[in-house]
Amino acid sequence: MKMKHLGATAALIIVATLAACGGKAMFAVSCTISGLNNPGLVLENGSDTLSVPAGATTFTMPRQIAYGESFDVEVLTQPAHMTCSPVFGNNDSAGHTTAINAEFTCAQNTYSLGGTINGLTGSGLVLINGSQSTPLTVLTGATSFQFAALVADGTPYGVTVFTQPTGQTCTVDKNATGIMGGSQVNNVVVDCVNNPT
Amino acid sequence: MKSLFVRSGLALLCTLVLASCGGSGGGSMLLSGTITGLTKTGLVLVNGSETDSPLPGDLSFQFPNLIAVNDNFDITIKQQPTGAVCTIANNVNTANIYTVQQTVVTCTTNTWTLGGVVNGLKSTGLLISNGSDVVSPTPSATTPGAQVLFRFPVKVADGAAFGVTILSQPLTGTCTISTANNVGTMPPSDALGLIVNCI
Repeated sequence: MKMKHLGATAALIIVATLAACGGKAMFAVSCTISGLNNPGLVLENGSDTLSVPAGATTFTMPRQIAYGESFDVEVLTQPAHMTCSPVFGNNDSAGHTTAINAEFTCAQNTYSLGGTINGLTGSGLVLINGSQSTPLTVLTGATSFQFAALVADGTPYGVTVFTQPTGQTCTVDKNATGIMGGSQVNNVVVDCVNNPT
Repeated sequence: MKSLFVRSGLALLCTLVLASCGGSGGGSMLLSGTITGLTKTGLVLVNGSETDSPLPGDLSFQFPNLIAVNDNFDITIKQQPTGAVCTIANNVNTANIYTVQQTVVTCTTNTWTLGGVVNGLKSTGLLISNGSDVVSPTPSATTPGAQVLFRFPVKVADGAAFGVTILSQPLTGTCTISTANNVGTMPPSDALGLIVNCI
């Protein structure tokens, strides 16, 4: 009994001594980021926030965390015209790996391109946006169209008729060209008329 | 004894017949590989006397006959696609369960320059677009209004569609693109016949 008591006391002393040695190891919450071309990004780890400038490839959150403490680095505010998201390691606990290194990636926002079609009765109308997107075959009788490929914010576009429908001639009459803004474009107007017989 | 002799002979005969049937194709494994970037017709792969003709969009190929363990194979490109160039890797080896599926064929479609001329351009600001690809011709420095050439920075793949529009007018004057050839399919050569007229 006496012996057991002594053992427990010794254990207590060891624990107390270790704690006094400087407590737990501290970890920097460091991250890498790719594709950040625009300003405005703010990241958060709990209440700890950081603004990251355009062009940055690495950043470290201001507050260090202790061994065992969990972290969750998330996007608080997206940069202009872009969306950034975590790829790997943004949500873990300190000490799980020798160093914290979360990865983020950013990409320009993309929006759909399309519009209305008037008077299409023939079949085989094909619309294109330059050489970039897969040519879009429009169904007979369609009154609207939308390219499958999205267009990035700030990127030019130009819609033309690649193949005329049978018995008709279609022209892109309004808003054929432009530069993609911060929302989808659906104001391109294609008018089709019957060919003279 | 006689019966045994006959049986042995038959067995030997059977073995010989089977062996001659199979040859190098008498194995148990598919000789295959992966393909990337194939958009054109005409590619022919060959291994010995066997050929395979992958089609545009195919992501893999396989030869019709099976191959045996320890058979040697040597897959080569017998014919390139029209309008594209393919290369082949991991194509020579001794057959085993790993090597028979490690050949990689990588194809790149030929690309060509799209462009033309602008007549009557007297100021800057003209933007000509092929979808997201934009070129900004500048007027002749010595003779404003003289014909200038333009080329789109991004080449267009053989057989791909193009459609050229005026994205932005110059500071002075109005330009239109000739609709005779502003939309088309890229030929297997540079297409430099676009015409933009400014007034």
